[in-house]
Amino acid sequence: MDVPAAAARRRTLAPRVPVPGGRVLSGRVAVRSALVCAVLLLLTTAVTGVALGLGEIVYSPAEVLAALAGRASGAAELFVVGWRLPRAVAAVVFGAMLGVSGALFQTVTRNPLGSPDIIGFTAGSSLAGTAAILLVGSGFAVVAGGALAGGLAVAVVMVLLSRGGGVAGFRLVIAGIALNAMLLSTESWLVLIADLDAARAAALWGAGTLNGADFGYVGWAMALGGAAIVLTVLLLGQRLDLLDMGEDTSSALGGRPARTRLYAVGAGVLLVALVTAAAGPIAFVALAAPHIGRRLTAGTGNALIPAACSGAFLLAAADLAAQHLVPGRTYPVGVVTVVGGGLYLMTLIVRENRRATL
Amino acid sequence: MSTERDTGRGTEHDTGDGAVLRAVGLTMAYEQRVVGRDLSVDVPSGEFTAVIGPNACGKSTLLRMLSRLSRPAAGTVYLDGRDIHRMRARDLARRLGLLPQSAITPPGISVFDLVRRGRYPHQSVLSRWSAEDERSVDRALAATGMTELADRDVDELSGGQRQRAWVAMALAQESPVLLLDEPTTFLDVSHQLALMELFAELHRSGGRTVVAVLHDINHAARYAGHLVVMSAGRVVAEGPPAQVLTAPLLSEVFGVDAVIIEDPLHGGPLVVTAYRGRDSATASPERTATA
Repeated sequence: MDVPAAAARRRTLAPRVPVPGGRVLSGRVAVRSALVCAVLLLLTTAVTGVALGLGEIVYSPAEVLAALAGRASGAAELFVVGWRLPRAVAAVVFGAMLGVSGALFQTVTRNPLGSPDIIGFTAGSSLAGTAAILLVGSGFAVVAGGALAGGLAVAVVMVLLSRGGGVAGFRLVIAGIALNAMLLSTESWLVLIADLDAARAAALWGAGTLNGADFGYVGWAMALGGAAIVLTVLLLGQRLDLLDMGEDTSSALGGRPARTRLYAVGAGVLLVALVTAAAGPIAFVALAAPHIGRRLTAGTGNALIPAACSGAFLLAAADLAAQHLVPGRTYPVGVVTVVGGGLYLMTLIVRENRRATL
Repeated sequence: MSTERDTGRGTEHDTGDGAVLRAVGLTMAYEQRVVGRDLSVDVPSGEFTAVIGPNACGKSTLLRMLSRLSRPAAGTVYLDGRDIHRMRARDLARRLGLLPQSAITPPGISVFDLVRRGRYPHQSVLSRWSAEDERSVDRALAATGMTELADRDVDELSGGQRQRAWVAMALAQESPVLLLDEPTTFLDVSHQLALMELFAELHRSGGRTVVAVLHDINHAARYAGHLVVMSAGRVVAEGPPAQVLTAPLLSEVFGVDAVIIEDPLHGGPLVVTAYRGRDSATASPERTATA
């Protein structure tokens, strides 16, 4: 009954040459991933440095460093540390939050278009935030509460809509795009019927802006968001990798796919809602950052960290452009991301359509 | 090895040595539609068990319930005497592994990376990767003959190699019980045999309990020590292949005429089948019942 030849042949294979230090991070992918993230962070730092230097009064890098170290004149310190630094840091942290949120949603929906700004989560947060501004007021807690509630409400609607079809896939994306359009038009209607001052505040917020960001207002969002990113990477990173191998495999490995998806959506909604509450809806960073991170690292898996790094770079660069691309005018960063991201989305759709992977 | 299905029903089961998996009084249902009722199966410890039966007989569904992918409408599955639905996910995954049919290869993943993920149940947030993990992955790669392909992308491999990479992933899990859902489907015959040899070797030298849903009756007869034959959501026969495989059973279950001879190469039963006509194929309750 035994045919041991094949088994014996397998056994005579040469043992693998041991790699120094083991392959804890599995070789070249991890090295490349770490390199790409380091480069992205370096670029982000450079962009941030430029953002700190540019403005009504231009400071040299040396002056910026002096101001950061607390060794500059009162005026330089006020401009660089008091006014420009909060905005620049907010761009970096919010960018990272949006990147991670996008990576979470795209992993859960298994679709490159399944990002919160396409399938209605950003719009839901934005609508509820606008409603909060118009009906209650524009304090951070009010807007944040509204934005979070809006995001969660969208999550509930999406789960109901995608019932039977599974949370994954095409159906959810189509339903989300439709929902997104409805939410946006409702928001426009709200702004139109509101009184002028409130409408102006809401419209400004609704464009997605970091103008006038100060630590008192955006600090909470940044602290909570940073903590949420760290916890997500630590607790969900591996389980999201398992989810990529299919529902059954994930379950067989003890990865509890249903719970993982729930946590991932929860964390994703929280991150988007926090950013939206602090800065208004900023579109397309969550869509583009995970793709860019994945392409650059050529890695597999959830790619949360590369997404965070590219998100930080994208939003920092977009905000720099919003402030200084057109001399003498400062635009909301949301305008820049919509223009840039729209182009990105078009190329993405064309490419995915050609490969029929959408 | 026991072929009686009624011993110790519903009570704690004395396992002796090694793990044993048993299903007691399962009702299998999709939504409201019952596809199998009062199903009981004993998986003998340290044995290679093959589950065979016609399409839509519920064999894949049984495997899903044995591995907790689906919850039975009634009945209990015990692993080492414990209800698997009361076990923590990782505890279960350390004791029971599964290679499902629906496995998705993440794009661009290397063989090593794929196999590494099989170690998840042995890791925690604090201890990410240990020397033991490294050794397990090395062993799994060696056992499947994938050591030299460890750095290759799974996408670039041939069908047989890809399936071996997935088997290595399941082996790295190092669970005493391993369930396989049609592991050789879509492979050519030499790759099928290579995998069957590997599974047989796992229980022979490694002492693992292996349960495989198989299509090929003769592969099941040659490699498995214990057969479970299913038809229309019921277990119709259980035991060693030489006892279980009879012409009347094959006629009833598969709707084929069959002659059973001694396998000239390996000993044991060899089934030679003859087509009997379209109408005599057993009616299945629902086509969709097997995933």
